[in-house]
Amino acid sequence: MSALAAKGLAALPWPPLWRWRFVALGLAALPCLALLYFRNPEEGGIYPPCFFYALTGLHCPGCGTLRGLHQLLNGNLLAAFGYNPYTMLALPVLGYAYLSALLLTVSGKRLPTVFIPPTLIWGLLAAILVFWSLRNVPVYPLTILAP
Amino acid sequence: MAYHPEDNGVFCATCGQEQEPGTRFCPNCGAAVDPAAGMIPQSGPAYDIHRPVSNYLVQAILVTIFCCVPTGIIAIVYAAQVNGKLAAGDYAGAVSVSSNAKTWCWVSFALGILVGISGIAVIFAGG
Repeated sequence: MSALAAKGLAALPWPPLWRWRFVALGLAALPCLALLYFRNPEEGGIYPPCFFYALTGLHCPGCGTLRGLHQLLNGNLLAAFGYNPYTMLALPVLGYAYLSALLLTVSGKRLPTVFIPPTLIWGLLAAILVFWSLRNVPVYPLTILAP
Repeated sequence: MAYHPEDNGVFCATCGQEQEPGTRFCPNCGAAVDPAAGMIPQSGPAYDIHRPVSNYLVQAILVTIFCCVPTGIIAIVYAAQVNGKLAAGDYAGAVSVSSNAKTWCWVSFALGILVGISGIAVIFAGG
């Protein structure tokens, strides 16, 4: 227990195996990001097809994420937003969540936690539903939202 | 109040003392600790208003992006309700809705995997 306290981990109630899941998650993401950087999903390859699209013919809110990430990794911010603005806007939030979980795991330090007002989450929900609907309307200029 | 979504510890049902993983008897009051019962804060003497409640919003966003199933939307509805109840001071309500948010994140994750596997099976069977 004192050894744990010395490492700053005593405050962590997680089972020991779980403490490193965020480190493992990051390490697992690295080869995927490398693949995404070098190979454009637009040109096919070993990327999985979207089964929601294959089954329904509809674009889901996550459609275009892989192609968008490829553009982002290659520095084309505008093209990345063109494929999926929702993912690109969510990335900083997801990055902060990952970083705070990682820091807590490795050093026991806590980044400030942000309380998101409920109205903002309801707004996010509405935005996702509107985005999802509009990107499936095959009429210009709504086709811009399609990946 | 700062709250920390990643905390999900075991607490003594008798005195509320946080326990090291694997502890069988509470070092504070000596009562037997039931890890299964201790995971969810109960009302009563162990009721701890300062225990963080996760809204699972990050997980909900991840499943709406990567799992391609509409059920991620339900998780976001519950995430909004968790923060709504926290803002209103309804701690017990927030804890209850939080477990719904968690459930729907896992449902979406499982559905995403299931649809993915069946999709791959169809490709191999058809190709």
